[in-house]
Amino acid sequence: MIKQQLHIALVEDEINIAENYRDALQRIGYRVSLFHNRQDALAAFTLALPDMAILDVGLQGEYEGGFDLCRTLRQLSETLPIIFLTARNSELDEISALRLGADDYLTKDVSIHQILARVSALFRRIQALKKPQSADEQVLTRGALRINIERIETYWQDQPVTLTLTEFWIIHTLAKHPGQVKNRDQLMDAAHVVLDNNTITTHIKRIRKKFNHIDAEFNAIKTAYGMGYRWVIE
Amino acid sequence: MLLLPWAGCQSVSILETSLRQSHSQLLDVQMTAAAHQIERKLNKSQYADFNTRQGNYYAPLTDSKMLLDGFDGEESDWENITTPWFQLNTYDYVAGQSAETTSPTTAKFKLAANDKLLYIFIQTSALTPHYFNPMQPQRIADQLNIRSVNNTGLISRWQINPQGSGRVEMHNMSQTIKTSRDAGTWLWRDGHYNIEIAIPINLASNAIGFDLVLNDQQTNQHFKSKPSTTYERSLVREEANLNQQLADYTQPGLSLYLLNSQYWLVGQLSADDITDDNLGSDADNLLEPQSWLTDTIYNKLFTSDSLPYWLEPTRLGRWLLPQQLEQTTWYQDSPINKQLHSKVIIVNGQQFYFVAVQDSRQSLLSASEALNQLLILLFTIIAIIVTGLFAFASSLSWRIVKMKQSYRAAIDSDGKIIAVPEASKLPDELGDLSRVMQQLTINQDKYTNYLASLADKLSHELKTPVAVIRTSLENMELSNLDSEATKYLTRAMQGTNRLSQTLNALSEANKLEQSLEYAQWQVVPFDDMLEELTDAYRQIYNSHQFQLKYDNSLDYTINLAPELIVQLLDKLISNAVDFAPVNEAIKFTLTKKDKQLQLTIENQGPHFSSDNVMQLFDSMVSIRQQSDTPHLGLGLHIVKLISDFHRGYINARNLPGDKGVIFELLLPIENK
Repeated sequence: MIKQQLHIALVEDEINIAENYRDALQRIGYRVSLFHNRQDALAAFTLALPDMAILDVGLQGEYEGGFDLCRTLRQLSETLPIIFLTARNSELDEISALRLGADDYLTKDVSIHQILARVSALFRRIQALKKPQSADEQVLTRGALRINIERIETYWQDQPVTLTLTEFWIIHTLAKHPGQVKNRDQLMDAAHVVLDNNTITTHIKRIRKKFNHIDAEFNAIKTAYGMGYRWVIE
Repeated sequence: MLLLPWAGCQSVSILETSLRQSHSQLLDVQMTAAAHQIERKLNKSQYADFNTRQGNYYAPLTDSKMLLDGFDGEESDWENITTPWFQLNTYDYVAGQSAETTSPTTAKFKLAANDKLLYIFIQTSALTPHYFNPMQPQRIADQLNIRSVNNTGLISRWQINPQGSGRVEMHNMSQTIKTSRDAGTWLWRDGHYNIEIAIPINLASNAIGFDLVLNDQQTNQHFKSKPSTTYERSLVREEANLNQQLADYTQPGLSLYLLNSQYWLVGQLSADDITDDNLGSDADNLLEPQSWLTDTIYNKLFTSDSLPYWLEPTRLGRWLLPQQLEQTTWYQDSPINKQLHSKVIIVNGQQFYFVAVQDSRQSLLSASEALNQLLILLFTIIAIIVTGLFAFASSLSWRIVKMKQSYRAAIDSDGKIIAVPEASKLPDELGDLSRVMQQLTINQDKYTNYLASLADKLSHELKTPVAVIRTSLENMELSNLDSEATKYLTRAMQGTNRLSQTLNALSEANKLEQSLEYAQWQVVPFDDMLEELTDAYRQIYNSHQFQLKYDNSLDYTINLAPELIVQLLDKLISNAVDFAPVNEAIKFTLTKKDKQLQLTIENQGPHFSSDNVMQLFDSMVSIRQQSDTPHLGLGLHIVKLISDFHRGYINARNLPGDKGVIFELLLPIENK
């Protein structure tokens, strides 16, 4: 079983919750290491990276210990899936987390089933990235946009755009069928994640900003108010 | 502050009293000197032998030459002669007795003199005239005999025999050769005689007597001055040359009187006569600057009511109240006071009274001027103080208004503190108040923020224990439990979920407020946006109908944060869908109003209960019936937050009729 080989590091200072999550994840076959503070986690990560990290933001007296850990992990690996699981639900925290390169940001009121679903979705995406489905789809070109699915690379006007996995799959889904409105659910499915509506909005905002950084005139992602988003080729 | 004028007036009053005393003394000194002077002058003068006898008859001085027309009363020459009438008594001539007899007829006369003539006016009561008939000279007729004595002792006798009503002649009976001259008029008028005649004063300067013979029932009745053959009585008269003597002592406001021992006025100098003539422009200059105000105040303050009233004492030719002459006295003569001084002088062994009456207005002019200056000074000081107080009060009022405005501006219509106003740095009470107000506002702001964040903090703090419970339950769910345990597990899960939802709802509004900072503004055609949205709502709520109305010809471009507006409309529609009946459309109407766009959303749901419509937009207010899902009434609060963020205005009201509600959203077109 692949799952038995997958190693998840759970950094959470609330021992009861940590153990509950660990139990649930172990029950479906993942190997889980628990860390209760940043220092322990960091020491372990420098020895060997897990296949996925689930981090709390506040860690034993360190108000933003989780963010620091995330930053360090991103330096260690560009592609390691990182999920934030926290009681904080302010948009500021969420934006900070995603800006630091987290793939997902969950609050502790989501059910354990959702967490499990997201974990497996993230692993599925990694699997998908490792195994491109067909040769035709490896490179997708839409006007100034070029997506290399195999290497998870996005280019706009031949310049690379650095996107997280979630952002990448959102762009991929939109660009695949230009003009078609993709609602939030569709985008979540495509990104193999379970996000709430606001999180999709936040992702779209971040994606636009990243493209705007290269091209101030970027306007390919249109909002269909109340419906979702669509890719427009100008 | 009013103590100031009072004190000023008191000091002027004291000043006035002392001035009055000093003036009184001064007047006394002047009077003494003048009395000596006059005494000497009169003793030396050619008039030294003027009549000093006790006067029985008195003739005041008349300025004008009288017209001997027999008329008295108004507009006649006698109008100004205010001396009393002298009576002529009847004596029984036939019986030769000296006793007075009574008669139904009476006769009286008045005298007046100037430096040439002595004017005589005799009036009888009603009678039947008997005129002298030259054809029958023996027949009894009415007749007037006059005896007069001059200073040299020359006795003159005169007789008038009227031949009818009109001009009469006078016969000088004392000369051996009878001479006649025009004497005046003898009128029979309204049933009585008016006899107006004149004789030279130098023939009558010492004494004069009358014997008026009137016929009554064939007998003669004699109306005489005295019941003897020498019936003249001494005459005292006011003399022009004495008046001229007194004129040397002219002073403003000073009246001088010279009285003989029987208090008859023989010479006078009236203050009224001299003020204008003798002082001329000087007096004007002195009196003119006094304003009516100062005069009024002066008279109010210094005209004492306790003083006896002044009466003009020489109206009847004789000093009315001789006891006045005994001492120096003050009198009130509205609106001024008068001071009376008298001195006794002896001329040719005869006693005379020299009386001075000083008008205080003239004498105390300086006090009045002092008052005037004082008043000007006081009013200036009071004006400065009042202006100062007014300016001070204005500045206080301005500061209070300023403070009110700044606090009104600091707190928005929802009672939220936008910015804490600056506190005053001044060390006065208003400054204190301002600082206290600022502190209160800061505390209020803190408390408001505390309340606002309370829900969020609470939900945050509760989330972890709830997560522990839920994850534990979920793990329990995954382990194999018997059906009994599963039943309780399910209930526990339901309760936990509900608690979890509640906690999310609690922090939602706060989360939104935080996310407002990251809102992206965009210029969008609002009509197109609404088209897309209504399409979306039709798909989401396919059991309801949606209508959108707007004028196609207008441009509805607006600057807004689309994501937030969508969120706002989501909340409104979610609310509308909960209440609106399925078969009736939810209507959107977009209109343009000046610089605003108005969007109304109406549905045919039940009315709001009327008293709390605007409260709907407050946090934690819900007018929904109890439902299965927790409802904290935050939806419309979020609507308000987003509307406020756009500087818009949201309002809800009931539609006329028994159902239907409408939400009105006003958004400014230009924003940020």
